[in-house]
Amino acid sequence: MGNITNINGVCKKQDLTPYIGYFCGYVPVELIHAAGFTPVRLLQGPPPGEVAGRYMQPFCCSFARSLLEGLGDGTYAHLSAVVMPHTCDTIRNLSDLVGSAAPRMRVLRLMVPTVTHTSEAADFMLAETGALKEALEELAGEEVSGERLFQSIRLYNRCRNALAGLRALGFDNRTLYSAYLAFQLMDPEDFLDLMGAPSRLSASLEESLSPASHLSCPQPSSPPPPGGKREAPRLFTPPAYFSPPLEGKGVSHPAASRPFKDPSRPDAAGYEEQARLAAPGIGRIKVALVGGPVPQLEFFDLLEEYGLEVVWDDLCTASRFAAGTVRESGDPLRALAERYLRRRPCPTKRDPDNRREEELLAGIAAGGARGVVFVQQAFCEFHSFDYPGLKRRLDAESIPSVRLDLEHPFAPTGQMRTRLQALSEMMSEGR
Amino acid sequence: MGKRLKLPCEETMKETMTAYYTEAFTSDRPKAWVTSGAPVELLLAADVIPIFPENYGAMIGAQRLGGDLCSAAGDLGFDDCVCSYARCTIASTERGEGPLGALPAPDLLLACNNGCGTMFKWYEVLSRRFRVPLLFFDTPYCDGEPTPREKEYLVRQLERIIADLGDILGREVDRDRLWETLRLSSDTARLWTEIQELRKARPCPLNSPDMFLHMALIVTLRGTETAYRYYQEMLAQVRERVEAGIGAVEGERYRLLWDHIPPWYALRDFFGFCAELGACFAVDTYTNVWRGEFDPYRPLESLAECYQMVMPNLRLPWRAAMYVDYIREYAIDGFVIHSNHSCKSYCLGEYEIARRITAETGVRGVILEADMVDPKFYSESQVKQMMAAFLESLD
Repeated sequence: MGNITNINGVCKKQDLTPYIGYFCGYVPVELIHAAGFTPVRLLQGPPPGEVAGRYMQPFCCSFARSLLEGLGDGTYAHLSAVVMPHTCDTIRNLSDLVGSAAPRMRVLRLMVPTVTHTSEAADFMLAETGALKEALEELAGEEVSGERLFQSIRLYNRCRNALAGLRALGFDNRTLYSAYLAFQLMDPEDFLDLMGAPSRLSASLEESLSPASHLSCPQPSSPPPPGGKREAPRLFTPPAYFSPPLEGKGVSHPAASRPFKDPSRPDAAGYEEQARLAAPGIGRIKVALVGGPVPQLEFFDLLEEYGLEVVWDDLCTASRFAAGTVRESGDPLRALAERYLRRRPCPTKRDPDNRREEELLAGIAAGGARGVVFVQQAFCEFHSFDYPGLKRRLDAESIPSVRLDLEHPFAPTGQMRTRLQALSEMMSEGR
Repeated sequence: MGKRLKLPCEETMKETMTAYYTEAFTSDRPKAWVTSGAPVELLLAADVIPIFPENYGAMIGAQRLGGDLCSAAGDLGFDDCVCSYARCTIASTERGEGPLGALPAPDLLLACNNGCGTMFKWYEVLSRRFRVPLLFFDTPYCDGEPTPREKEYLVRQLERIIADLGDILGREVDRDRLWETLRLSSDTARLWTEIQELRKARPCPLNSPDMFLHMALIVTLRGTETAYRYYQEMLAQVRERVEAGIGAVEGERYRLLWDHIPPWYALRDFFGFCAELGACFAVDTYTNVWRGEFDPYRPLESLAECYQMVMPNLRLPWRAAMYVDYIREYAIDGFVIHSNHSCKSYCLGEYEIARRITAETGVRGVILEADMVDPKFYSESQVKQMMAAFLESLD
């Protein structure tokens, strides 16, 4: 097995780094963590360039193109592997293109069923999750016990509960969605520490929002101290990932300078008071946000500019991924398979009961949203199929909405601003 | 423009397709809209009339109605990145327009995602629009052949589809009839394969645009006696051509491979232009998809294998190897890849496949940007200039 190093309490082959990248919210991160790796979601690579152009047509979304660019140009070279699920047609095909663009990158495939509501799909998901577990064990060089898996499940459940509590306290868009993104980029223990330690959270968020900040993972060229634990990054991001607020727009981030505690912790006394102080001023307009991956924090600043407060979301990189815990009893592998298969569906999954539409309306009602912002990656066919039906339903309920298509790098176009302005005015008139 | 050399059986095909659509429009039997890669044999065994919106999309494209209908779909909220087959047929339904008006409303839907994920999204839209049940066959991306866990998943889904079909129709699917349908479907696919194999002859007896027309029956009527008899007739006529040394393109000078669904609106214009320059497309990846054969004695297992292992659902190394084999077996001089704007599943990987073909065979190709139905992504003059230059480079 070669030399081994202790990383995060788990023995692994020395040539491995403790990070495994994953491509979407259908990947059971608890399993990666239990195998001794830190799961790191690949949210946004460098702007699509030579590598993406060599392998992918321009009519593929820039989200996928930028991830391939990052894999091909070495941005993600320090990952031990990437886990690629079968979700949309683009990501499915991308799993093969990685083999050409980054031949040294190990790809672990996860065949997530498109159907989520049948017993055969549940059994297939269980079998696929089991196959992923075996692949991770092979990579780590040791078995993942049921108890270890439960430890990771419990840890991630605490993170998910902490995030759910955060929304209820009314932080501004950027702070809230920074936390969602950090959850997908960090070791869960570090994330919980950050959520529970006010000074560290505010410092980290301030740092992440700074133009000078490029918090990135240690490269393989900087090995851990002999016998010591590798220093984990607080936020794992490619360079320039978290960018500063839109210049000159007067966006403030009160939460970033306020004490902040994890509500799931016993020492949360006074938390509500902190949140009250951190909450943006009254007068903002509540909206629901629906769409695909939105890794660009500048987008949330843009919403702030128009006085829009996100009270509910169905985003790939936020609630859709984070909401819903894993059962902490019985067979842990089956518990994981069930949670990921039955989670809030994304458009790549069969939705025979039209759950997306029903949950949107329920979310609007629960959050008191007055309108909806649809936000999707340009060229995302799956979201484009769902959009007309959702829009029609909102129109029938007299709920105004706009649709914005994102590209990477993010640039708030005049069209985006016009649409948001129009939505803001419509909702203001309706007060 | 190079005139296409027609087979005598084309008249039979026209009559057959007219009869098929007439029955679809007038019959009281239950009707199902079905994707081209779904196990239609189950519907035939249940005495359901299958209707293929993709086939209708091709007709819309060929009759150059795609531009207007795709634009109408835009008014309904479907943007340009959505599959143009889906866009034009959804708009056709809503506006009652198309070569035959709107297709007859379905009683149920059957979709399979072995071609792309688009299929189930499109059929979910249809299911909500018509308020009819959607039966769905989920085929995992295939690494050469099904794994045991994939096979179990596939077979259990087929069992569920058969049970659901029985519930919807109020009668059980006839297993004897399924056996007979699978046998007929296999025999028909075997004839289709033999026809494809005859294209290896020099000169090539059938150009790809011929195959795009003749494929109508293997798509819509496979599993029926009608399709089987038709391809018997066609096979005999193609054999005669080969024996007589008659080529589809007069003075065949270049033998090419075509990849992907064609731009239907430019079928005559593009392929006619190439034929004038002596280029015959002796093989294409698209019409070879319908080669699948079954073992009627293992009905569900072989349905599972066959429908999972279709070309667009194979991982890239398998697809690339298939293309390389075509290049060698059909003595191809160059290839043309259609980068089809509204078909990501089939297109993604084309750039890499093109490089692998050239690396392994030395044969070069070009990539043509267009769309199968929506003409706004097609520039006739640019495409012709590119093809002329490419063919010249092959000399």
